[in-house]
Amino acid sequence: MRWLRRLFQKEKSERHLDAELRFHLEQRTRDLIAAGTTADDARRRANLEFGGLEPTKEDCREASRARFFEALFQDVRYGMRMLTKNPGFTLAAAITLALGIGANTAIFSIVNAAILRPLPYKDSSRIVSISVHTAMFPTFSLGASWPDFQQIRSQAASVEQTAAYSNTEKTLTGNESPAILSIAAVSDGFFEELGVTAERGRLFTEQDQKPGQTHVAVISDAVWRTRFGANPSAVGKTLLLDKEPYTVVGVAARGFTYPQETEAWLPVSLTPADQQSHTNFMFEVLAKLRPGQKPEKLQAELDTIAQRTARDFPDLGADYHFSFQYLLERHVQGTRKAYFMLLGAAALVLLISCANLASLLLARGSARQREMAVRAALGASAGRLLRQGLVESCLLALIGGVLGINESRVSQIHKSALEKMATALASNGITSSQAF
Amino acid sequence: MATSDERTDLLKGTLDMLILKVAALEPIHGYAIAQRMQQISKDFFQVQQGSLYPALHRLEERGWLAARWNETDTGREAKFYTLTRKGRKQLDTEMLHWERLSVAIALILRTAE
Repeated sequence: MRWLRRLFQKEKSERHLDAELRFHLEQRTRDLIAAGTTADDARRRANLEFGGLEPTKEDCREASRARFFEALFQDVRYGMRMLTKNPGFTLAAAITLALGIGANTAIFSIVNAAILRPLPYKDSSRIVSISVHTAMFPTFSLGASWPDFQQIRSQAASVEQTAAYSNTEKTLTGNESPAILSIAAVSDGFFEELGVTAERGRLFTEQDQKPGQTHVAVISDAVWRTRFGANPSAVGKTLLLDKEPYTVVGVAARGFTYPQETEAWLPVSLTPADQQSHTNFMFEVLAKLRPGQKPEKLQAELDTIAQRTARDFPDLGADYHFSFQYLLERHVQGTRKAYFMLLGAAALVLLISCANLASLLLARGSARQREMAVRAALGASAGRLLRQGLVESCLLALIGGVLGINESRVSQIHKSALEKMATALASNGITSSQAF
Repeated sequence: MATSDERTDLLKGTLDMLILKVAALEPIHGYAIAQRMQQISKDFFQVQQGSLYPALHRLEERGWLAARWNETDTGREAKFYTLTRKGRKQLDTEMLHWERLSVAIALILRTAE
């Protein structure tokens, strides 16, 4: 590892090299003066004899550097020769590795897209989803009631934006064949909190949330394309949802389907009784923590609100409290395990291919004992032989890696299949986590 | 002093051996190595600095010489080389080779007459 250290000590070794050669020149000059030459002559002669400081320096650098790379190139060349000499072995080893690496790369790219990357919403890392718990329904996490939502919105100082929504389905009838649309009834501030814009028309305003004016809808880009043929005049048309007319006011930005493959959003419309009800646990509450705010602060505020509500309404049952979860965690809840299992399986495949490769190499190693013995007898040190083996293995790994990445590219052709699997996993996860 | 015609370029590989031999006596800096070789060979070998220093660095890299900065008698800092254990072994081998080689060459020269 001396060469490595030298890489970092380049400046120092340069200084030393210069000092060493200059010392020689000075010493020579001094000796010449002592022998009776004039100072100027002595300096000139010393320089002349030396024959150029810079070329000598370069040769010195070369001399201390060359050996490592020289030997490495030698090993690489030799390794290549050995690999081409046994194409069967090389092919088997490379393909074994390629399969393992390819599977891992493919699976990892799915996991990366599904779990590791943040959600595509504005400041999504600060958004939490709040749930309600009570001893009445000990095993469930419930949505919040409308009064709860209002309390959180007005009293939790650690959050800067709040919104509530609930999921339903409505039957679309009218011009075409009927269909069931996945609907989210959303409070004001919903789109703003997620940072979504309208692709066409507009999103909801406060006006739309007022009683009697809630018969408006925002549709998803997908619905706009499939049901309205991407016609710009779709905005302003009327949708019949469960036989009630809703005017389309806008199309949401392409790709936006929150909460879950949602096809249309309507304003929350509640009867006065529902608005007052403390047991109408139907709203998912999204709150965005202020930047840098500690989640503990929010929990403390939620506890205060819950305690007050529980005191005012004893019928809510014992142990009435709120909890929250970051949106990303909630999003991958349930599916996370499946993804990591998949990743683990792929890792195992790689491990198996590595084991296979190891035994292949081992078998070849014992076949090459003679060769090694000869090289050792000719004076190759143990370290050198070991390095030869390492270089050969690295070459194999390189070939395998290149093939593997290509393979995962090829498997992108089956991307639609992979995506289908991903959505299957996702919908399973969501149904199991929202089973109440 | 030998004339330039008589002076011989060192055989490839022998410079290393000579350096090791000179450094085997005591820690010594590059300039002194060159001086010493020239003196001992009675000016027969003119060691070129252009090959001496790269050779020193090569031998250090191989671990046959160890280098350390020290003061000279005149109080200047200089890089002193000493023979390592590995270097001693190398020197022994090379000397053995050299002896065999020169014996063989001498044999040929004498008997081929």
